[in-house]
Amino acid sequence: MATPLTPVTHRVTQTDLVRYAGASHDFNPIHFDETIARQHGLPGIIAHGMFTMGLITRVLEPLLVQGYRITEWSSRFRTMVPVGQTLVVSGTSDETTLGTLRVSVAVSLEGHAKPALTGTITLHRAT
Amino acid sequence: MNIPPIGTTSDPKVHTIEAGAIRNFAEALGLQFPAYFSKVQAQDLGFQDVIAPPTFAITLQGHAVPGLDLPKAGLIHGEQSFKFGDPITVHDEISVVTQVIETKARGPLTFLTLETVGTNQHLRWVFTSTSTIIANQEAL
Repeated sequence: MATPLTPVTHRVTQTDLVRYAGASHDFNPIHFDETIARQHGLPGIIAHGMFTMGLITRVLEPLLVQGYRITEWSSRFRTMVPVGQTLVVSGTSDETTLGTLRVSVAVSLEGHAKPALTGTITLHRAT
Repeated sequence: MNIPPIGTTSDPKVHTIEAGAIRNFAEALGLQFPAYFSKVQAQDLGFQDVIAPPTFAITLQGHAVPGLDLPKAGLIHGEQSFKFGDPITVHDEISVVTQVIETKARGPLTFLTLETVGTNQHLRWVFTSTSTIIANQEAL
């Protein structure tokens, strides 16, 4: 039976993206320079896809504390995440075999039905 | 834009894993798992030393793939997957290569899949990262 994970809500600020750019060495200016983002036809600054994916780690942390380790993780980026938007990270966990969890996650812009990112994570714990 | 043949592989690039880089990355994502921050707590959790968050692997890239020339703009990161082996641990020396594994064209869109593999100083497999990038020729 699928168990819901505790969701995380996060408003994406320009400071977040500058910090993530520095921490990840991804200095594509569409993630921090509004003028350049608009020159590329974007509505404004957008989040790094890997920032959005990385936020999912927060909903997985309670499982890590319980001794689970991530073995596989796949994500599909479905829509852009503009700066200033509030993201809701939610997921469900299923124990497929003893000690193995399959987690389905979605990251949605608050107020939008269609997720910006969907993903599947497999975790193992020694039994 | 130029995409070299499938199988074209970068030279290996060795990355030394530093505690400060792990801390900055974990803090940038608002993470709190103690093994990302404290050697003592990492050891209590069964690790040898501080480890990196899973998506930290995206910061570990090979040298440039010979002949690969992508536009700066108009690129979309479409899909990303990871498989993980030994944890990325502070003081590791991780050797990383990147390879072109698939390309396909659909109308104005070009799909490029790159696979990046990291191996540590003990010759143990650490991660495989698979990234699908979409270039839109009409946006260039």
